[in-house]
Amino acid sequence: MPAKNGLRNRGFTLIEGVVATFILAIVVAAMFASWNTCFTQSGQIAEVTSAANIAQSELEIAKTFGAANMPLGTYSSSTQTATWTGAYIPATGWTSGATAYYSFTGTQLASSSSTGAYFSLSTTVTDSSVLPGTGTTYTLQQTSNRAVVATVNNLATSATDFTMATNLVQGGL
Amino acid sequence: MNHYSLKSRRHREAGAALITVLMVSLCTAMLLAASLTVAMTTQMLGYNQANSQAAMELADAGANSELQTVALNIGIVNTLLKSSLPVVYSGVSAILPSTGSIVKGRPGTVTGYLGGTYYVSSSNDAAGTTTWDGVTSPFYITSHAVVNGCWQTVTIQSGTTSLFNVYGIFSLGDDTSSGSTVSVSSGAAVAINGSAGVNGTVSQGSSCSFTAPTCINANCQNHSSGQLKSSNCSSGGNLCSCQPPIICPKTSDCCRQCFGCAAGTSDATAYSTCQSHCCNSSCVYQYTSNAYSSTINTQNCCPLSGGCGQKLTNSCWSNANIKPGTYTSNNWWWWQQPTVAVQTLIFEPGDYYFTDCKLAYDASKECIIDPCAYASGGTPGQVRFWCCDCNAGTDGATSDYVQCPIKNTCASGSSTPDPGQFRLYYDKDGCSCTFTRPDNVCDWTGNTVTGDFDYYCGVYACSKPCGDTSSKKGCCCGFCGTSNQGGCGSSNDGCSHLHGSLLCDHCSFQGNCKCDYTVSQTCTKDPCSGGCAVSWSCHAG
Repeated sequence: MPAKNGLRNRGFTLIEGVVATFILAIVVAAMFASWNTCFTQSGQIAEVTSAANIAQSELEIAKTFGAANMPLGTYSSSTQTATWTGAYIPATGWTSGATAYYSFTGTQLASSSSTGAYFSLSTTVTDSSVLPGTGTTYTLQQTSNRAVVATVNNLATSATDFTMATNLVQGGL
Repeated sequence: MNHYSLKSRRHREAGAALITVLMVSLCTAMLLAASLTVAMTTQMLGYNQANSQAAMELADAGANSELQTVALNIGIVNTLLKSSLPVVYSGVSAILPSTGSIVKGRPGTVTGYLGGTYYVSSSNDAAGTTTWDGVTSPFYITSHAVVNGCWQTVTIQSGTTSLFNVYGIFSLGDDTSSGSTVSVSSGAAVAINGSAGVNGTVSQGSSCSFTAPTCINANCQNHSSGQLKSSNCSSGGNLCSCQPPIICPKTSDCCRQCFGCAAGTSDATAYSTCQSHCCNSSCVYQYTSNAYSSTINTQNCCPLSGGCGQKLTNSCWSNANIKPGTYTSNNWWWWQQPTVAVQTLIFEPGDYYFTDCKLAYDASKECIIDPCAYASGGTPGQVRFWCCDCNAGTDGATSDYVQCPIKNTCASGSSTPDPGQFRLYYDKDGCSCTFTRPDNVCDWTGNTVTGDFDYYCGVYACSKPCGDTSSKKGCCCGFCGTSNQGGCGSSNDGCSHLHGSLLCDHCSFQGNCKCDYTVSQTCTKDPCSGGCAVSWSCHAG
């Protein structure tokens, strides 16, 4: 009988080991999956936060310039609005047709090929209640409204990370 | 180790590995749960922060939109329509977290942005409960914005900004049977340093010029031609046009709002109220009979007994004391009276009501506007002349005129008068008021007067704005400078020179005229005004 008992114990230890290993494998797999989720979420939120900061910074620059000093766009008689697209580049100011590039930490870079370039920023100014001039020219008046929309994209995926918008008016914020 | 002790040990350790693994698993699961919770919380906080930033910018946009609404509705007399009301708007059901009730204010968003909505309203009080009455300054704009469930509220304290701070010259009326709304006589040289606009057409005589850096043709829907041309734009200037007319309130609307009359109050009642509030009899000052110098202060000045009546004419000066230092040298003996001397009237801050304004050039008459209240020592403020006569024309007088220079006192430390501190509101339908700088006039010493006649003020003369279908004819405001001193190229060219702005139904120009559009930084009390941001605060929810 002792021999039989020993065999039974050895079998139990083997099953126990297999079950333990199986559970451990599941736990480890879950752990890796969870870590992956955590890291992905962390990366996403870091990206969105950085993109939001870049967009807000652009809008604050626009506010600093004020409604009267932001560049004028091209008037369309069909929509009775005027649109300007570009970005603020420190060296050239508000630059029509330009796209600004930023690193992940929000540092502005020279171009999309610069080391660490991660985001692209484009700003659109849509003017309404303007006085049309000759052709596509126009003049702002006290009642003009300048809608400023800053869009930050991921350079690699071209997906929009964050969009932020505000209005500028004469005498306003 | 014998067989039994080994067996005992095996028996003791049976299941230990499984238990250990289960315990490790349990600990790991707890760690994972904690990590996931932290990650999810961080993610939520991060998104909330980003959305809060966007909500704050959107709330700013709402506040700015409201300022634009006020500016757009500057001509609306019904104060309930001037701005957005602090009530729940139709179709709005969003709950504002800070109050737990449906958010109040006009909903809106930024053009080209679909991420959120703002709700904005104007109020007399910072709490945002009392509807702005369209007059009180400061007033408050409250803007709530929500982006992906994150709320931000921005409150800005706003001040009113003047009607006079928009255009240099604007002819607000439309053409009548009498012709164009802007008339430039032959040989006239008119230089506008600011924007010049018309709702009607322009007639220009031969060899004349009328230039402004910005020319605005409004009401193009009614006038495909005959308005300002590119030749009216000064070098590098811009010619603009818009289909609808530019609409401003009537002078009587300004009167109603200035004196707190309801929107439906008749013009006659409004001006009757104006008369009862006017200070013609108490705020007109003169030099004292024993003044030490011509410096305007409380020692040298005293009230003019009885003030001036409701007709502002040269005779108002007849009882004023002599300005110190203006006696001629022939009064050596006590019985000798000065043959030439200057009499001065000083108008202290307040409202003055006149049915006529007829000031012919007279070197011995001096008119001083004293918004600084140096003469009385009172509170500085705006001087407003209301030249209105509901029965205009029935007395046979359809022409008012100012043919003398008007001096303005300057604030301490400034050498330039503030045009925002003097207003002339003119409402005599079918009549004209002309500011003339006459040719060949002498000062009280007998020397020829050179240079411009300067008027530091805002002039408002509108009884029949564009679109008014009444039988009224409109008010005309004229400027007439010299024609014999060679144009407006130098400072001594004898222009009729307005520093400020002119808003009227019709305007006419003769000789050399200038308008230097000047925005007052100090005047915020003009009636029927727009708004501007003064200070800003923000909080969540």
